[in-house]
Amino acid sequence: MNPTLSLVLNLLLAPIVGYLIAGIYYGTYRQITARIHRRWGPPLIQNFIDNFKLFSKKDAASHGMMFHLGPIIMSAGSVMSLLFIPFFNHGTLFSGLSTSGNLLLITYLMVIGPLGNALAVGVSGNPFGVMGVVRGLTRMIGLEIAFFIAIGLLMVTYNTTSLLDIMNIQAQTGVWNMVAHPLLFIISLFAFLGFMGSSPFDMVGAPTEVYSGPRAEFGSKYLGILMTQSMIFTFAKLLLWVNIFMGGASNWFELIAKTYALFLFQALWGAVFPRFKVEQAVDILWKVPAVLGVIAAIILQIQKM
Amino acid sequence: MNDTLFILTPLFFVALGVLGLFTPKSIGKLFPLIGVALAIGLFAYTPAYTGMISFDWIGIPSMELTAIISPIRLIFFAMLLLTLFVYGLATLNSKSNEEPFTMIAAGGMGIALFSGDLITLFIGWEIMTWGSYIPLLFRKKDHKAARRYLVFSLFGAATLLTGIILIGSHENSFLISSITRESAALGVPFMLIGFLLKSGTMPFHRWVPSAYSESPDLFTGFMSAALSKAGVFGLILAITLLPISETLFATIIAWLGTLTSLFATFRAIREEEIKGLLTWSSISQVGYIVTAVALGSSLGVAGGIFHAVNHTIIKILLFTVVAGIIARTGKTRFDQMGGLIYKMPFSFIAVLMGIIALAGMPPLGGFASKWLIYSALIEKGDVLQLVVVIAASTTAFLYNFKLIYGIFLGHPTEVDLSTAKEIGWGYRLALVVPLGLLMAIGMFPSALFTVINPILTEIGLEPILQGSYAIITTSLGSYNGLFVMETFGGAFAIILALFSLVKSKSRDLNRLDIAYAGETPTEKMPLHYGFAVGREIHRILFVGYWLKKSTTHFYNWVHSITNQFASLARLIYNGNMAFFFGVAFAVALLLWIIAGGNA
Repeated sequence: MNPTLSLVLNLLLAPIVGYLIAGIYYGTYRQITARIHRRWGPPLIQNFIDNFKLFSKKDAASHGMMFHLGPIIMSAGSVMSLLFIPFFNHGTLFSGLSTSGNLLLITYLMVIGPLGNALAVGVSGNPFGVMGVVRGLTRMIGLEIAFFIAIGLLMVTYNTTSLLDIMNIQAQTGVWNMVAHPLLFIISLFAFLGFMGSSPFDMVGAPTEVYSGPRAEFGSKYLGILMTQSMIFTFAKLLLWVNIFMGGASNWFELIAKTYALFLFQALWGAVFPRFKVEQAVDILWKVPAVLGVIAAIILQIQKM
Repeated sequence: MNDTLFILTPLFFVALGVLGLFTPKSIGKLFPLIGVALAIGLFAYTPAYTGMISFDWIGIPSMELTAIISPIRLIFFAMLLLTLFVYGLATLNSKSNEEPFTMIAAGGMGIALFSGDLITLFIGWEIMTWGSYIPLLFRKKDHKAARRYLVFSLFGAATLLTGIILIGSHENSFLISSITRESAALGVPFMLIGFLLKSGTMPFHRWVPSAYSESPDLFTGFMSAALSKAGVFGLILAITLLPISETLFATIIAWLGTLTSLFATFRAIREEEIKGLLTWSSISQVGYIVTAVALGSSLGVAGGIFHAVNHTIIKILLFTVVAGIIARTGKTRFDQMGGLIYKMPFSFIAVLMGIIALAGMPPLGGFASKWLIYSALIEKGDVLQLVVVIAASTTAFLYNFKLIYGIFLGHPTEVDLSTAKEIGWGYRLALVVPLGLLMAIGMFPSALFTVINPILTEIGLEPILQGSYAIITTSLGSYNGLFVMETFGGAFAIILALFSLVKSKSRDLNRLDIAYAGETPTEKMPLHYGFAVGREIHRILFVGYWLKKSTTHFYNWVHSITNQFASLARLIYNGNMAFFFGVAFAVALLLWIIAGGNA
């Protein structure tokens, strides 16, 4: 196929595919939590139904131009993070723009979304929404510390910042990083749970303490686009972890299996855990990974010698 | 000798400043712009990247005053010119009257930058300090902040002078090019204290918050964007003279920078004054630069210089906007502002782009330098330092959000929205250049390497070769700035277009019409959360513990020690000048006799 055409197709299709897959995942998530609660739960495609319903509302309450643009900035951020992460560990199919980026860029692209959200919430004038945003930003300190202890040690070990290089090394040696560096994988899972917004790190929404958190002011199509982008973003995060630690995927079956395994992990974990306060979350997110990180660093040093 | 005139530009700056003291205020206001035009004109007339002149002032060849230009001096001078240009445009629209002193300080900094020998460096350093001291006296009757600035600067100058004299007496020459490693090892540590003090690295940062908050608003931007870079220049000079990258000493400085970036960020979040927040942010950003430069590797120094350029652009942008807003509203604190977004759309966009770059987010220029600094840390293999820098950088999102939320979003508090207006035309005009530069650096990050690579060669490091302007490459990876910008623009446009197809109609609500736990808020309710953003951070044990600490106690201790020494001196010196001179004369006579009594 013509490279330009395939690039354009990749760029347009990747978010749609990500949206569909993550939508189904969330469908199973709702069923699984329902079974844990001993109810039946909604059908598998309930998320798509909800999303469609939100987009077809007649009226949307807004708070001016910035409120309108915030969710769009957030979506652009999510789509961009997805585009810089390749779906497969070989070939150009769904590789998006991964050759023009690197791991550090992706971690920073993932922050554009929260910024857009924060602006929209801020302009809405809802103090509870802003509280939610501030919780989110505070939590992010802990998340990034844990995440960077893991990927920092990985990048130092392989002496590269490129995500593709890290994937290639795993493909060549045939050993996944979660096997080669189990401690780093465990550290990164702390961050993973937080990034996925699952318990015990789900204090951003926190419906029982602050009235609904960042989403409080969004309704109808605005909530709809936030829902859409959150599914795309979820898939991007699953993909990132699969690529860094699980050797990437070589075909669709492997892709689904690996991302769903990760998704299931956080779903089950989240279903049984209560919630931390934000300061407790940050505390645990830097203390435990720091201790594990020191041990991992010592092991890496020994391996080098 | 065509380049002579350009090398002398700093002297013209000082001359313009002195002239400004005796001319009417309205003419003096034009001097910064005239100075910039002069410098650019002279450089365009005879473009020269190297060159030197010297002046034998007392007939001793080893004490000649020398001025040279070289790539590194030029890039810092360019930062100074950019700052001066933005400052000069904005000040046309302000009521301030410190322009002559700004010119003197700029000239002093220029002299220090162009110095080819340590004496010239010191002279420039002192002119810069004194030029920037006087504007601090303009604001209030209480001159405590100015005095503190003076005391710290004098201490810095004293250590700098100690270093210079040690080198000079060991080397028998003050020329920077003739300094050997041995004499550098003797003097550079002393000089470094002076440099770190100027850049505001912890624990020498005490003067910065008070000096910045007491200075005239526009001048604060000048101090943060330009003058703090003199310290960075000194630091680069120091690591050139004394290649320290492998020693413990370098590690200590790198960690000082890292800790500065972390703790200053914590402190910035707590700040309730808008300028205070920017001040602490400035301290923390210079911390990154110090960290990167002290790594001493090609990547580190390149990252440091890149970040210095970015920081200059961002801080002159943000301080100028804030100065404009303060001039318009007369309010200085976050809990007095709020809800100004639709009244000041241009300032909002300027601050938004400023914080995106300050947070180091793509697609703007701020990301490139952060990426280089992280890459340098990864290359060195120092994960602990990387994680601390990342933590500082992530925590910075909080103060960035506080800055934009506190001023523009949320609800209006003490500013009357019906009368609020956009910031003055001079401020707006001034901001166009930094905004354009941020976009340009974001799209073509490696274009800056056309300047950074000659610098790396100049100070004896390997250049980092780049291909196209859009792709920035290091040994560890690369990214395409233009692609990032295009994808963001494209994704934004497509999503906006698709979103516009959705049939539901947007309806703007009254600002009090919010989901408020079932209640209906009234005008009187405190709905603006501006001053409280980031309070959570105190409850994190580690952060809360360190936020309670401060270097005040240490400096109080220094103060009491100094007092005790002073009272010891008082035992001998009884306050009678005549007696004191008598003793001094007797001692001098004694020394003369001991020395052999030669005339």
